[in-house]
Amino acid sequence: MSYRVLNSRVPRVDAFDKVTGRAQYTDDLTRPGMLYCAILHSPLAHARIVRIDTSRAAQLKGVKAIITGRDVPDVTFGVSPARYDETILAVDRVRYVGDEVAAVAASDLETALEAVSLIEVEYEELPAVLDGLHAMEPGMPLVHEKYARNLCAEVHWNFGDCDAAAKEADLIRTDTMSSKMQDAAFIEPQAVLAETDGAGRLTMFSSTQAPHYIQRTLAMALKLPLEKVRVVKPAVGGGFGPKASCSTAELVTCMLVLKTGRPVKMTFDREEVFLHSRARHQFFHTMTTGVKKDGTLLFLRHHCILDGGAFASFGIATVYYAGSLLGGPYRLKNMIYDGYRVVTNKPACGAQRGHGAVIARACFETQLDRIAEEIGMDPLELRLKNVMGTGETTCNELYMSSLGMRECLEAVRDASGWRQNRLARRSEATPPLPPPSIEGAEDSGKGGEGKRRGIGVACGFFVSGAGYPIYRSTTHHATVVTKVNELGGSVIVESGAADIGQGSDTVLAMITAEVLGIDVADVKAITGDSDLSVDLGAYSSRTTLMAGHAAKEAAEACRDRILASVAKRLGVEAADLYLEDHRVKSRRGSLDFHSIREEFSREHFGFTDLPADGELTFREAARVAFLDCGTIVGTGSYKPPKLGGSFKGATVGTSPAFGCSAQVAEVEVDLATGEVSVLKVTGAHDCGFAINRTQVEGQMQGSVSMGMGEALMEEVHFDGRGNILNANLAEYKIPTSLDVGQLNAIIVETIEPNGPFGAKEVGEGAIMPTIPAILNAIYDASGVRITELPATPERIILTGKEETE
Amino acid sequence: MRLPPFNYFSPTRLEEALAWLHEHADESVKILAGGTDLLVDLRRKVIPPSHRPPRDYNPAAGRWVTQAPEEFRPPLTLMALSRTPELRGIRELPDGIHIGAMTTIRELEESDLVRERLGGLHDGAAQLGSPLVRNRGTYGGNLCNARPAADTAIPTVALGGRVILKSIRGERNLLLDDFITGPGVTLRERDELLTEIVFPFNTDNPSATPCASGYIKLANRKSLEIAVVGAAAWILFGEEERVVSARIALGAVAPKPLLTIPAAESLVGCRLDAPAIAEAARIAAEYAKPISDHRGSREYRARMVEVLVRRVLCRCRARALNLESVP
Amino acid sequence: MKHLIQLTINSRQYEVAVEPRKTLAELLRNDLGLTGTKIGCSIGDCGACTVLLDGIPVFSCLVLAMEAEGREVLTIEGVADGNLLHPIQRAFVERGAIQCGYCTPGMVLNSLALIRHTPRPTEEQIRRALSGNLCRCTGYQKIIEAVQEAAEMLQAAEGGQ
Repeated sequence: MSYRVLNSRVPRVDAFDKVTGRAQYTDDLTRPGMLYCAILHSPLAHARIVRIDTSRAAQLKGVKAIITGRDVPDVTFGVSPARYDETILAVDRVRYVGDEVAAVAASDLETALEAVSLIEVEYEELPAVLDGLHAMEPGMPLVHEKYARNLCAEVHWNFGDCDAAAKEADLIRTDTMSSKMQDAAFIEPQAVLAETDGAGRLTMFSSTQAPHYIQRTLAMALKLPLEKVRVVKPAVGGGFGPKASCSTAELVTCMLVLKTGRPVKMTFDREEVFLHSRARHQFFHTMTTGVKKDGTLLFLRHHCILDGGAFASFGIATVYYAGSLLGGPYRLKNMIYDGYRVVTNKPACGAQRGHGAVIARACFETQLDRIAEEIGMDPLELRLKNVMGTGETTCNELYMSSLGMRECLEAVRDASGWRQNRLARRSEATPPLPPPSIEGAEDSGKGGEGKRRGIGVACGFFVSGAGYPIYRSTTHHATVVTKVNELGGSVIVESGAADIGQGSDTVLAMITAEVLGIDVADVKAITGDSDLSVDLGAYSSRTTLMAGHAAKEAAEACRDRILASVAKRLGVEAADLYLEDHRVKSRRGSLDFHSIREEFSREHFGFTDLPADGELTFREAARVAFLDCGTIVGTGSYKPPKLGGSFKGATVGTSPAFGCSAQVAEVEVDLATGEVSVLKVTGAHDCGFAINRTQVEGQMQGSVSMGMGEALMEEVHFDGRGNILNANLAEYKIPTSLDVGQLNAIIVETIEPNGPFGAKEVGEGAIMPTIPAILNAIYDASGVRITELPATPERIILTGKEETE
Repeated sequence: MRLPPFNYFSPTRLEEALAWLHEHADESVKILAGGTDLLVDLRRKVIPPSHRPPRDYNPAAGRWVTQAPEEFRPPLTLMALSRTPELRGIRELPDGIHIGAMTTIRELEESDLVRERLGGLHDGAAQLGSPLVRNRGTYGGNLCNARPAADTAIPTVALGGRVILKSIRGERNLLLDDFITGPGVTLRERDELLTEIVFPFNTDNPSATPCASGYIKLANRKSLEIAVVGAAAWILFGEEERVVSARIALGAVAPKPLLTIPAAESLVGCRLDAPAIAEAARIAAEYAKPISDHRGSREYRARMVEVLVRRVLCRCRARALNLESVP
Repeated sequence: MKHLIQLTINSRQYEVAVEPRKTLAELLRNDLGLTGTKIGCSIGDCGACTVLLDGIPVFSCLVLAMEAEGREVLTIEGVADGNLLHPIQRAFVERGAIQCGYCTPGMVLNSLALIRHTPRPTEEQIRRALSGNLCRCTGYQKIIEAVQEAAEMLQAAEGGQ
């Protein structure tokens, strides 16, 4: 199928504003008379709040309001209704360094910060639990009384028959992988500007991924009627997950607005971004996998503990995803999963790109490589042997309505020169890391000597939108309202969908333009405002598929109404008409539309750009439809069908579609220092159908660079008292332009039947293979197996040393 | 976050700066060079220091109350040196190479004189922070900040650089190695300014004698990093390519840049060949006593000292023999 | 105690009263409504606040407004000519080098300075020049390609004159 607009590289609709500095992000917004909010954070990981004295702070000139745990409504909230455990401010206890104790609104930021430092708090420190791996042991301090053993969610699944499968296995391996808490490190910190109007309506502008969920949380936590709360998302500088849940900044700012009657603004300092976190959990995985000697996968026993910090946040979903997304993309009939999501006295973790499945995938894909080595099989061939295809279902009842896993693997195999590389290697033995003293003195320190290259492969897949909303509801997941301009010629698409940089506005505009036969330039997407329509937001890689469906439906409704109008006017069958290239055409030859054109000319007497020749234009048709019917509006909505099995937790991991990805990473390891250069990553991703090819590539490349950071350099360091030691972007290291090598992106299109025009996700599936591909390449280069992330130079050297001793 | 209030004074002549500095020596004065360290240090922290328990706080002792900051804070003044032209410039004079303290790191990086004659300093400048930091950060600022991993300090110590400190009372000339006494601590008096850094030519090191220097930095990523370990070396060659004099300085393994004298001495009289290099590296690794912190463990740092010293000595040899093209 | 200073921003003369502690970034964003310069960390770690000071890319969050007195500042708002994009901006748009857009102003200005200084930058030189500007969305690939394309376009334009 060839399309006019779809599958092209049309520039993003918001690129002009972003490249000229005109795009408005939340911190760019101001209101006359606005106040500034600052938050008082706990310096202790676990303590009882004995007493708070705000009197000195209140006396400071310019302070307008101060709130503490005493003032907040008596409501607990969170992400998942099954685990509401948060209050707007700490009420009687602080549970992590950074926990929010008080908030001040003042006439300027300086005064607000000064006031915060004048609030006196008396704490009674309590023993803290900081080690997630041992948090469930008896005698550990409890973070929340209601979470016995500090366990806030657990999963126990048993599919097929692992014991029987184990008997058939020729090789059974047990391997582990652990990681650290990581941060999303979006470049724009959370920011909020909120105000009320004369009718008591609260409007909050916020750097958020999910206006709808945030609107609900605000209304619930502040005890406001939903219809009085509006959340608007301006331009957002990256989200990656942590911005999908309501933050304290949002809640206290709104509370202070209600208290003072004035607009209030708050922007997180970078350090606060770390203290707030809601980013990637820390994982401890143990996997036991059995195969036959021909490489057929037989079973997987998977045990996982996730440390999610002080609150549940997205944690229930996380612990489910960690297990459910190992059901594919390989045929695996037998799988046991025991997952434990614990709480500790550290900043709470939530959802971050790829959610709970990323580190699990890293463990499994590196284990596959070890298996391949033991049975003497090429690791890529081992994967090809086991991949699922379109139409298959995983043991945990995830149905692959399309799955181009084989195509992706073959694409990266061929594009990366995998076979030649492996052939060249088989003749060399993979060296263990030599102790430095035998290093050749020819080493000029510039490279060449002492460095070795390696190549590694991995796969992964991810949902294209969660099958169920976070709250128990039969709500539509995405709705779109599209209005044809009454004057004809252009179209406005309105949606609550959130473009956080992934390009969803462009996708909606492109789909609309395609259906109506017009250009993207004729479509304006107005989005991210809870007033416009319900959309669950940008998380679980859902927007293209779900909002895309709704946009397509809305555009088709507009199209149908326009064509019906024209058909009636011209006395032809509406079914014979179609829109193409800004024109209305008939399948039955030419149309006699002179009456419409004459009327249009008459109406526009004096205009100089009237359509003179050629077929009836879209502009004329749209105008005529308005004249006859009034404003032409089309609505669209999308709700996934009932998905998944009937077992407990079956819903998490379900999706109307699954995107998948394969990557080959080429690295160079300095055998003496452990420094790793990622020279090239060749990735292939099955996105079903690329609505915008450039954007799909961009998402693939961004995913890889984030995965690279998480593999090699990202970790949040804590000291023994729960303080974050590296709450800044100098010490929390994300890759710079010198750290990221060539990123080749290959698009695979399987045309997903459940996706609009066949499209499905790319935003999170593409991060799945990255960490294991790099780890496998490091092993290929150096003989070192990393089982604890990140694979810093030190870890590579010291692990190598252990292995040779 | 916002900066605290301060007064700002920007002299246009060195004389004026020194006079002012002397007059205000009792007050709270900070020197503003490039600002890339100072303005970060001055910023309000999200959790005010008054709201953190003191270092010796014992949780078992029961309750603790946050303290409000002091009512009176002495007015702070920043004296900016950006408009004092005498503090800039990289020149070769008969007595040595002179570099003004306000020379930016980028100017060091782009200077042919520095690249050809002070290779180690060039290496350090090229790897410091990121290009944006280098555009503002200054040589003098980096030295006075006196961090143990300072990318210009380590090679300067190896090169035997001397700092000139001026005040209205006169002038002092110190080895950088003596000037820095600990992390963030220098011998600069409150009314003194570090005005220039000098690499003197003397009987040991007349300008025409072949010498070579280098600096290698080890970090987790390739930009915006503070060294996990750094190693700088300077070698003076004599007859038959034998080492007449040498210095090896290490960064991030001690409270200040560390001159490993025994390692350097082991090279004197030798040709800079593989065994000599290996031995010097081994001695340096034994001599260094790194600590563990969240950037690196003691064990890793100690191992890396040996690797980096070996590599930097190889680099010096390659440069001396003109084997290495301009980096 | 405020000081009255004069400086040129985007070829326009400004006279403003500033406290010494006001940074150039705060002056631009809060006082002059030039919000195109972004704040990502305010301590010189991310590069989102990059502006050109006398043609040199600097962190505006670490430059005091007083230090910019008498000097020329170029912010992202001064790069395009009305609605006519500079070739670097066009290349960024066409190449897909923009996703969330937050690092974009800094990247564009830094690239502008690079190409002026080095009209034919190699990929290595581009990566090095931009290594102080963090991007979390793009993996830098399309940004590098955009700068290369812009450099070629500008060279060709020069050659044609």
